[in-house]
Amino acid sequence: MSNCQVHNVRFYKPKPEAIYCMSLHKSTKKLAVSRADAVIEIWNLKHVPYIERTIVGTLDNSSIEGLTWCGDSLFSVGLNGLLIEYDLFRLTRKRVVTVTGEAACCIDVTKDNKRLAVGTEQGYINIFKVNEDDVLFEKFLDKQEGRILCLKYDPSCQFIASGSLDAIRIWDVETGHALHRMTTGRATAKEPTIVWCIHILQDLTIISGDSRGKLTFWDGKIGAQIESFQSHKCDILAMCVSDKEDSLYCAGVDPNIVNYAKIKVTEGKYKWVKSVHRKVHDHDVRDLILCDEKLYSGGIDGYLACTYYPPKTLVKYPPVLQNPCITIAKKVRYILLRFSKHLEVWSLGKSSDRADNNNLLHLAEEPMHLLSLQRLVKNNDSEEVKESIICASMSSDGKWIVFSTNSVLRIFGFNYQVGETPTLSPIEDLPKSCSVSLQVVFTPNSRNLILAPQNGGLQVYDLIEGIPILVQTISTQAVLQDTITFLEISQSGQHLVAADPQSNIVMWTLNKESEWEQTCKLPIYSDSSPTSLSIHPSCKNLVVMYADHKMIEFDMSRKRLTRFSKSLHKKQMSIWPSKSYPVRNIIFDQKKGNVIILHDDSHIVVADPNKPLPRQNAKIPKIELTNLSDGNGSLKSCSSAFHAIKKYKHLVYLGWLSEDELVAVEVSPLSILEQLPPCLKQAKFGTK
Amino acid sequence: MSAVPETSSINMINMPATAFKPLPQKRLSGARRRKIRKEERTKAGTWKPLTSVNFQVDEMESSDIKRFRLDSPTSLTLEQQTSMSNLSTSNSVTETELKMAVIDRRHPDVTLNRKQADLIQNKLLTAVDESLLRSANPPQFESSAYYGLCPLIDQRNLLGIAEDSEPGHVIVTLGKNIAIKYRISDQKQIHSWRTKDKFSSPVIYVKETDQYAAVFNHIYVRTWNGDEEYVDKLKKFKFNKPIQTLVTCNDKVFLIFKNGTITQLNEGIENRKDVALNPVFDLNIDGNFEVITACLNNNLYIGLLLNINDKVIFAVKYFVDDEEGLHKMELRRDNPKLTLKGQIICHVEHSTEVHLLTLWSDGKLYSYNLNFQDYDEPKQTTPNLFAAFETLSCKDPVTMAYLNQHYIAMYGADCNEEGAALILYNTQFKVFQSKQSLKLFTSGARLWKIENNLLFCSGQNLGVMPFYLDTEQLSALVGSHRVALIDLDPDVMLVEEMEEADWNASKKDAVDRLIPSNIATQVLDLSQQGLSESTICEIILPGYVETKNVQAVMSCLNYFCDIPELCLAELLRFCLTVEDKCFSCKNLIDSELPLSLRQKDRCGLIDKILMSSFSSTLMLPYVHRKLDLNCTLLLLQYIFYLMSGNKKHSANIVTLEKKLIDWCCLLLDANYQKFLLSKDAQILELLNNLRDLVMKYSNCLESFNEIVPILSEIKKGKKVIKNKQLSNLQYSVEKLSLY
Repeated sequence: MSNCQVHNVRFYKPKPEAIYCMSLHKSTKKLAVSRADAVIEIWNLKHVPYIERTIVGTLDNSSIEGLTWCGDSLFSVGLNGLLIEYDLFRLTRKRVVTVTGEAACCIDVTKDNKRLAVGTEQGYINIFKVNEDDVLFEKFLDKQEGRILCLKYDPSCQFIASGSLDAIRIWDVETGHALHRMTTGRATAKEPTIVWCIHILQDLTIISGDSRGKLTFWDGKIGAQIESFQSHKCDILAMCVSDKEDSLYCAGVDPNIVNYAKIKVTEGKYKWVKSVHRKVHDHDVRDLILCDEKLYSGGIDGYLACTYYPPKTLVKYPPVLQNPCITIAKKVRYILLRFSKHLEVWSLGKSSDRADNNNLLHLAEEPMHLLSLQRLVKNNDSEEVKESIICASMSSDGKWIVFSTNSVLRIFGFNYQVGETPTLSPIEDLPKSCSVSLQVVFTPNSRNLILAPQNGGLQVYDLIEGIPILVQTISTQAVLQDTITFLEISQSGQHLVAADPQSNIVMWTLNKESEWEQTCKLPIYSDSSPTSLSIHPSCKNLVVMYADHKMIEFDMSRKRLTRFSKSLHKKQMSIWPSKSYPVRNIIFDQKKGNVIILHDDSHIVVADPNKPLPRQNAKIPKIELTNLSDGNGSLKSCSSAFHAIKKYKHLVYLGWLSEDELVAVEVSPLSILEQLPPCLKQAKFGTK
Repeated sequence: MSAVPETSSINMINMPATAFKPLPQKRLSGARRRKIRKEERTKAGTWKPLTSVNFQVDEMESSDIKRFRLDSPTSLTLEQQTSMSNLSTSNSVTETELKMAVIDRRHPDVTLNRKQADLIQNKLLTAVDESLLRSANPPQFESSAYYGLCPLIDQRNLLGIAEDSEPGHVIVTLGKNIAIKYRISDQKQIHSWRTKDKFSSPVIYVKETDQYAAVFNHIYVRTWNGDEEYVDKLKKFKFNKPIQTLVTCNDKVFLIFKNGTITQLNEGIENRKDVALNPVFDLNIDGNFEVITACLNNNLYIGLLLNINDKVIFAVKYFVDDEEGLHKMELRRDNPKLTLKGQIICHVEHSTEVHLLTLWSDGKLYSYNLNFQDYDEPKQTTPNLFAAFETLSCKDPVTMAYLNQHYIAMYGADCNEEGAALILYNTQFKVFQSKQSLKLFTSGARLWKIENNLLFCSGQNLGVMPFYLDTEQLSALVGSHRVALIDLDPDVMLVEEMEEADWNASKKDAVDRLIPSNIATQVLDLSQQGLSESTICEIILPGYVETKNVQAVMSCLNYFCDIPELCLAELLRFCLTVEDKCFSCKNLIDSELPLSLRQKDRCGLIDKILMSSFSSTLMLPYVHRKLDLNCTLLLLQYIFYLMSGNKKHSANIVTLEKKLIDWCCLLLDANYQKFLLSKDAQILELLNNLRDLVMKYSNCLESFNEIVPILSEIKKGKKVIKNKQLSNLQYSVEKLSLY
């Protein structure tokens, strides 16, 4: 028995951007991940890892080669020779300082978060002083021959160990002189050995990984090699050491992640020995981070992988953009796909009721690609480059498209009649207030546009005149402390909900004068932050899903949690089969009243408040629908409030198109794999 | 997916900073990009701060990251060619006749009479031909390297290895307390069984009951289903007499008691109180023997080799044609100082009789016939000297394993006393065929053959050495035989002197073929001179070509199987260039064909030539030399015509196509340079046509590729998953029930 048609959209193939650098903010467990296109994603690792906010690249910042947290601020360096501090509220850069010595590819920070060291192409190590509100150049250490590829402060912050071609140096920061220079040796006479990564321990033991695939331990006090392992077949690009300094992981072009453990030989004598290895990625691993015994790795394949033991677990988070990246124009059946640097509009297909041979419905109308939209800007070299897109939306009637980059917000009128050429007309004279925004949403009647500008607050524009007219500015300063990362409008257009990563969730209602009026603020759940929220079409309830998989259902009219939500909380019900992925979307089935449908990367969970709650700790019935309608019969027996459906991989979006049509946008792992460069070829058993 | 033209027209709209562009798809790997960036910058020295650098994809060649693309197409074709040439050489060799004289080495003065010599030669050749036909099998080690399956606790603790219910798996009883089931292909542990009692036999799989069984503490037997981890709590069968071990032979499992009694497991369990009261030996032997099992000609042999009081006694229990029997014999050599170093029950030479092959410390292999049932009286056990053996050192024990009728595997110390060696020994021709040296020799280490793998102890590891059975090639055998004769000291010596041609002995096939009348006189004349087919061809064909005798040429092609490549090339040229009048004027009315090829008979002749067997390596220079560009083009056009669905032959379309493809490759190879440099429109058109054809074919192969797994699923009786390819669909609508 089927109760809806689902449109499986698989033509959304975002380019998997390689992960280049990662940096962990230890106290808040926020992981900054920079990608090849200079986008920084802030992942919250407190519960289920999810992208909390995204900082897109700007024109003059097209590369990030080093990334570090310094206190609560985030710094990056890149090949453009700039040290950039980011504004995590406005999601753009805050301060830019030029580095001496051209391109910079490594950065490290002292323990007290007061100083930054940046290593450069020309061999200068720049030391910057970080004040409350300023970054000042302090000095550089003696210039060395050749580029500096990696550097690390020692825990006492008196010394810096740096790696370059064929050599590792240890510097006295105070005097600026190199104390020791240690040569690595070469694999072949002509090829210099590149030291890609370095780490320095409490006892001044320096650990380096280089292009020969060797992991070498040095005694930094006397500048001599202690031990060397031919750890990998190819370059070691990344290394991380546990806080206790008793375990280290390294990986690189040879993506095997190898663990070395420090073991006690005799009293006071220690030795590093090779321990387990895991193969998590097929492509180069670029950075490794340890957080709570969990190892996070990222590399060329764009996946952020989390491995830990015990139990031996591997979770991989696909390179998919932060929500919302899909907008559906229900009235005209268009779908707007947001890519990192362009937008696409497709018209969805129509099915006839006739089933094709393999359970698929016959397509009466094929989906059509209508538009690709991107913004080209000249950069400093007068080359045209594509600008990254922060957010985009399309109105329900398909007449309006809005998107914002880090420099400008643009609104277009879009027109397409079947058989004709689609036309796109930019709205030329936008009001000045209509500037860079972090969230945009159209009201369901397509008459209003609501923006969340970079500087905070909300703006409501009227579109009736053909150009947007600012009708209301809502100040959110009092209720939302952080960046607005969620902006939801109810289907009736009467309710507006905005939320930030600090679990502030605020609701506005349209009053009789057609003005938005703040009606209530939800209780703050301080343990976790929301990963998705949605308003029931009947405008009764608001459902919020938190990163720890806690679900609340809030009755908007009575301004309190519903009974269902309370009983869930009381029973500490686990509603998810595997708590590895954040919930991406929440939808409701209008025909079924209160039924809530939630989905994450792979599971769809249907929660029916009308059914009895299962026993505590009961397993959620799980149905695998890999072969379409095969398993549908087994669903009838589900009597408990929750059941999960596993059908997709990397499900990005699930939403209603009409009353009985769903749209499921899936990024297939294959399409990600297709776009990746070849990986290091290694002879495997059974292959030639 | 419909890419809509509308998009392109949008490009016309000009906007100040926004434009539409096709999205580029190229992408560099991160490490590469980083390096290129750095290299570029250092090279150019034009670094401007505050700019973002744009990098060109094309300049990525100088990267020094070691990445390798997967196989290139050239290597593929090369491989194909070699394999083809192998095949055809073997063909051609088989067809040439060998003439050998047979001289007994020990009695060189005794000349065998004609009949005896014939018999021996015949036997040799039929043996070789048979093995070719059956494609069995000079075993070769698959690669020079073996791999470790698992570490051993200690070589001595290893109780044994047995085949499992699933193919590709083995049960390794590593020690007294643990047995592990491994998958050979990836060396993964699949399951393990532990016990606090002690295994005293390997864990084996009993096919009859689909259970596992093992002996514990020499006195209990337990059987279990395989899911258990600990086997201590299972029901145990206690026996009155101590059990030595459990062996499996041809899916039957036998209990062997310490007193030498052999009984089937199920029978043993049923009568466990009374069993083993009638020992094989009168002596008190208490398990002091070795067990050898063999299943040859569907008969089972279980032998016990007892070393007692400086005597070696061999007792064998055989199950021949539902009859059981027991036979004992003493293995003895004239010199009492010689000791037995290895033994196996196998076939020797080309007989199907079962022999016990024993290796003695002086390097001599002796064989004992075990066909007892033919004689009412136990035959006097006189050993026959089988061969002298030098490949392995006979000072240390040599372990042997039976591979097939003609081969056994042997493991022992290397003959130079450095390390060990694993060899494949041909019992038919008494030569070793393949050898793998190992660094460490373990005395008395055992050897198991599991499917196509040999398992052996290599130091502290259990090594797996895959071997494969390839088509036997006469040439290889002849060569190895000679080496063996020089190296060893055999009873019979073959001397490669052409004494007398004897065509009648092995010309069964040829007799059946009637020599076409128009060439009969000449061929008979020449063949009576003892010339081979190829030589006859070389002599008579040029004459027919000269006189343009098309019929005779056709007859030759029909009659001879082994036409030299030179002649084939000549004939091709002749067929393509000879005047029309030589053929009857029946025309093919097919406008697709080139004008000069529209005669039916000419085409028939060309078809015949194309279907002849040849070696592409040998053919290549002749094609290059003899066929000029026009001929080649004509031929290629003709092949193209045949390949594009105009095949008249209904016989075997696969062979035909294979041949045509071979020819096509050959012609292209031979004229590669010319084609490469030529700008001739005709050539280009032809090459384009061929390319399209190849594309068509390779597209077909893709769908075949998809069919193969489906067929194999069907064969296994599994449900075919219809929607396998659905995830590749860009867009689909289906019904989904959420509740």
